[in-house]
Amino acid sequence: MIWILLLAPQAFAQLQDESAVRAAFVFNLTKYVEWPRSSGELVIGFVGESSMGEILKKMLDGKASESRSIRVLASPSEEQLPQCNIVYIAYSSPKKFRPVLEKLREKGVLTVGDDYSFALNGGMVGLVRAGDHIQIMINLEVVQESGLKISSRVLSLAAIVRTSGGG
Amino acid sequence: MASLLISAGIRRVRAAVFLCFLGTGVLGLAQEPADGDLTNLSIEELAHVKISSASRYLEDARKAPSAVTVITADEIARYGWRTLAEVLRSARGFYTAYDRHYTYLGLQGFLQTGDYNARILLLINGHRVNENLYDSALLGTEFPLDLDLIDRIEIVRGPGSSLYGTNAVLGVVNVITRQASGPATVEVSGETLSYLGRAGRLTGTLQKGRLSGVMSGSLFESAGHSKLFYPEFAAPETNNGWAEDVDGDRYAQGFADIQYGNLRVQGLYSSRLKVIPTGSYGSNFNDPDDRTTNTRGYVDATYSWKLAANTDLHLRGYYDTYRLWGTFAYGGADPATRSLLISEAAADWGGLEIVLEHRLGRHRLVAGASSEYNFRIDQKYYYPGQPTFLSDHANPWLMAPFGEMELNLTPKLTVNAGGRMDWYSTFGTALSPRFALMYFPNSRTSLKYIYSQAFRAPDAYDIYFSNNLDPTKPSQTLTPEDIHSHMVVFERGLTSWLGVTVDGFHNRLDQVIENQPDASGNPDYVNAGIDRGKGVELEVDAKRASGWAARASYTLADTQDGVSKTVSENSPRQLAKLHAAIPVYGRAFAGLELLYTDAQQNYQGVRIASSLLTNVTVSTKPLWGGWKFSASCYNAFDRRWATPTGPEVIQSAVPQDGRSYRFKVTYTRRIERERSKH
Repeated sequence: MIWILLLAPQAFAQLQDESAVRAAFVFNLTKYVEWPRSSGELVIGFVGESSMGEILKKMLDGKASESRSIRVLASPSEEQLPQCNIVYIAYSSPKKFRPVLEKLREKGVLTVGDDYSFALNGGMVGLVRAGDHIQIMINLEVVQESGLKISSRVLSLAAIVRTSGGG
Repeated sequence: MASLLISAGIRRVRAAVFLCFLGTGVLGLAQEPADGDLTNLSIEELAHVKISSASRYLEDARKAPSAVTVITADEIARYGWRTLAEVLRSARGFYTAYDRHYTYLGLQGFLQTGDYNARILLLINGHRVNENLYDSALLGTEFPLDLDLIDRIEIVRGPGSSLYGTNAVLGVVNVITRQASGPATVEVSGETLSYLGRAGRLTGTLQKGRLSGVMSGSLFESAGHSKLFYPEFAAPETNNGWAEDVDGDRYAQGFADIQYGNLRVQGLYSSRLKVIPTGSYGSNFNDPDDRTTNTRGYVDATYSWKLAANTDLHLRGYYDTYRLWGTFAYGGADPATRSLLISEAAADWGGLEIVLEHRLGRHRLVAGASSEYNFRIDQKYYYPGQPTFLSDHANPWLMAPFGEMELNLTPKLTVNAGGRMDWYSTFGTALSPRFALMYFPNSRTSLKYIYSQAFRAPDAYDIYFSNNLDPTKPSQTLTPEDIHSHMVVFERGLTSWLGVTVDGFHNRLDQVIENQPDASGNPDYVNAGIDRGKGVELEVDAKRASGWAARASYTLADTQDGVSKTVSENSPRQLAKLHAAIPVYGRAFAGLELLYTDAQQNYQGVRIASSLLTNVTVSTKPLWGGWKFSASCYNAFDRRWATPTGPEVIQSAVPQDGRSYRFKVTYTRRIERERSKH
């Protein structure tokens, strides 16, 4: 990630840790996405290589969103994956995240990632670092193929992209 | 559209801060929602939240082993500060001196006019701005970056050599530039100031996917005072003490910062010319050829790798350049005897740095190594047409490993230990350790004890003028100055909008490199000085949701020159500051600044009276889709005041400006694109 030589990373008074901001975005997505099947529980699965899983668990596990309670599953099994409502994929190369996306195609699972090429390679929502804030990238086609609906409130903040051929 | 921008701005200001008052005592500090939880923000607010550019493994930004103040771009606009020196002067414990050539900065009771701020490390985005010849930190109009490009300034008080090496004796100032966000923008700004000053700037920003960039150019020109009176020169042969039209100041600057994914390349180039009205260095008084041009430039590239889930590696390479061109007229105004001394200095250097950041459970570790080589440091003095009479070439280099550990022993107790070992080709090694013990009884309170050592390496100028001018003197090797510092910092958030900071410091500076002119009056630098300083400071900050904010600070410093056993030179015993920003009709802010500086003595023991400055600025928020206006009145009550000088001039103090003004207009235009792009 972009590094500014602030070796003793001191007081960033009004600045937030980007993982926490991403987790907060995921929480917002639970409010503004409609899943084809509804239940009393909203399951967020985490797959990947970063500390994001712990942060998701710390910030969102047990929280209530639109009268459903959130449960965070770190490293879900093969059977558990498609049963999640949201799967956060923290891999930084298409080689690694594409297979996961394949497994979740058209299963009504919202896929969220943090790599720049995530949404261009079949992911639904990318939460990418853009300068000094987090930018949402949405691949609307993949979202619609899955039977999910995202509120226009989120779409108006996002950059809408299309799957690029050949990644 | 305009109202959306304004309300987005307000909401951003209200965006959550996890940790109240991070010991920063800053007005720009955002209001926090009831439980400091980011998930309470709306998605629109979240989209505007600024993310920290530092290590993502930082457990807690409060755990900085120093007393830190952050000053934001909003504050710079609201208080109408014109130079970096004015920004820093507003912070607790700082004061400045200006001799109509350079601006000098004092902190914790220390200001040495001849050292060109060599005891403050100045950084832009982590890149060292102090040049390698005089180690000067350029803070006035000579600062090479337009203030409008600044996002925030992080002021870290206390020695910082444990990570940064030389110059970080009294403190480290890191200027962080603004980043592009959203679509492309073009911004134009124009200013008009007293003394026929005018400035213009053109900035473009772009952010698209992985690419983001800021590019900017600025021009400034001021005729300065048309008449300045110096009683020391009140004789007929020196125009009866009047310096006329010899206070001109101008600069041209360019800046670029391009980021693509994990790669960042930035650079700047700035050239500033100042005509000097004081007859400095014994030169002719009232001579328009007394002038210097300082040029500073660099290119800096950094790249980051994510080695593992908890490990980041960063690599940085840079190339810097500095040029000084000075002319000084000597021999009186009579063309038969008048001659022009040229002082030319050039320094080019480059460096490589590698830093590893790693999280180990609850703890954090930073380790790195820095190396720098000077391709040239040349100093030359000559009269045109005559052989050079002083000339020096040097190629010093340095290497330094450094590291820091943040051990979070319990959720309430943290120990921070670190150090840096510098190897200099000029003098050998310097070790700079730092140790901090920090206690956090709750989320609103912190108590820290910090012990640190720092150094200032003798620079090429000191070394040359300690060795060369008097061949009868035994040659000597200058050693670095060092500082041993103890600091205690207490920060507490009293309510969600009110916080207080109390700090105490105890400094001992040894081997201070001083100019003890030899019998012929030539400069001769030796390690001779000792300075002691101790003091206590208090700051109260308030910021309300309605938009108004205020901060007040008080510093009591007791310094002593360890050799003469008298109060140190240029050291006011007390400083008091008050800042208040009041929203006006929801569309503007009134910013009030009151600065009190106690009496001080210059290096000769001459007393300089205390001063109370009142500065007022009215600035608008963006209006009508992108227009911002600002009007400022500095020294509103037109009080007479002066700051102390050093041996470069014969005046004991230089009178400062009376009431002056600035008007500024900025227009920002977003270049919109179609929504469904790729």
